[in-house]
Amino acid sequence: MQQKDGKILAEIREVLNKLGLKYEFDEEKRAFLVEIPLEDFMGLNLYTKALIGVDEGWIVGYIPVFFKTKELGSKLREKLYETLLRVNSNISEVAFGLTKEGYVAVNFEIKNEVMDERVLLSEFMGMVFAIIYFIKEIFPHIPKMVEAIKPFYIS
Amino acid sequence: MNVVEELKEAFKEMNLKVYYSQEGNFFIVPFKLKTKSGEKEVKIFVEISENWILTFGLLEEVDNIPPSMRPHLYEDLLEKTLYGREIKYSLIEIDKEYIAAQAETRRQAFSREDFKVEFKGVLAAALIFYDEILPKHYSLDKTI
Repeated sequence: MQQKDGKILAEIREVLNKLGLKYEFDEEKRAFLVEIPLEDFMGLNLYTKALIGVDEGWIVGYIPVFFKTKELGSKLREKLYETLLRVNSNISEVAFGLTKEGYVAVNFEIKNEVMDERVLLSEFMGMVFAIIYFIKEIFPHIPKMVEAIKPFYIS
Repeated sequence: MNVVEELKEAFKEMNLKVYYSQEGNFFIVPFKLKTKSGEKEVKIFVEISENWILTFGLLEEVDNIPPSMRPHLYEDLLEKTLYGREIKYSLIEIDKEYIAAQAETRRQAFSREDFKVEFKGVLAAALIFYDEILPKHYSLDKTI
């Protein structure tokens, strides 16, 4: 398993290098922490971080949004959840979800057997586009979020 | 073999009776799920678009869910989406809005085996919805 993971991690590294992205590799978690520059937004220079690793036969990717939804009032929270579930119906291969602590996140999963450069690139970019969509289209409508998220995204 | 024929073969291999709409380029698969509370018929749709094959099961009409239950139910659906493998819940509007379980398969490099995995993933997500998620919230609602 370790040997197979090593081969897959090498393939992931190759794709990240091709994309010219800055990353660190966490030996313990067997995962890459990747810095992703996003487009300028409202004059702010935004970036986010993604975690890409291997987990029991799967390649998993994950971008958290540093905002605890539990801090929103119940109506606003319901509206946000509804929006994320509606967006899920229109995005392929990636999905919005929630962590147990209540943070919004985007993720993807690829089975080891179907992993190739094209598939990884497509899912990785899908995750990045989903987060850009979230920042541009969803969070401006939730006033409390704008202030809460800023410190985590301004480089 | 084109993708429609491939899908027909995949359904045949899974012993499923399906309806195909040539006009809309989609399949409807009525499926009887064995849930903990009995048999539940779910309609699974398989839509073919230019780049993707979208498989989704309509699980519950949103209007049938009491409004007070929705925030926590949605929270659970989003959590399962993040932590479950091959599980994706969404809200889909087809004349009315439904809670749905869905999966996508690339048309390019389509394989019957991959499609079957995705299809079974939608059924698994439907079962989790009926057996684990929904009962939790209905009992919570009754307690309140």
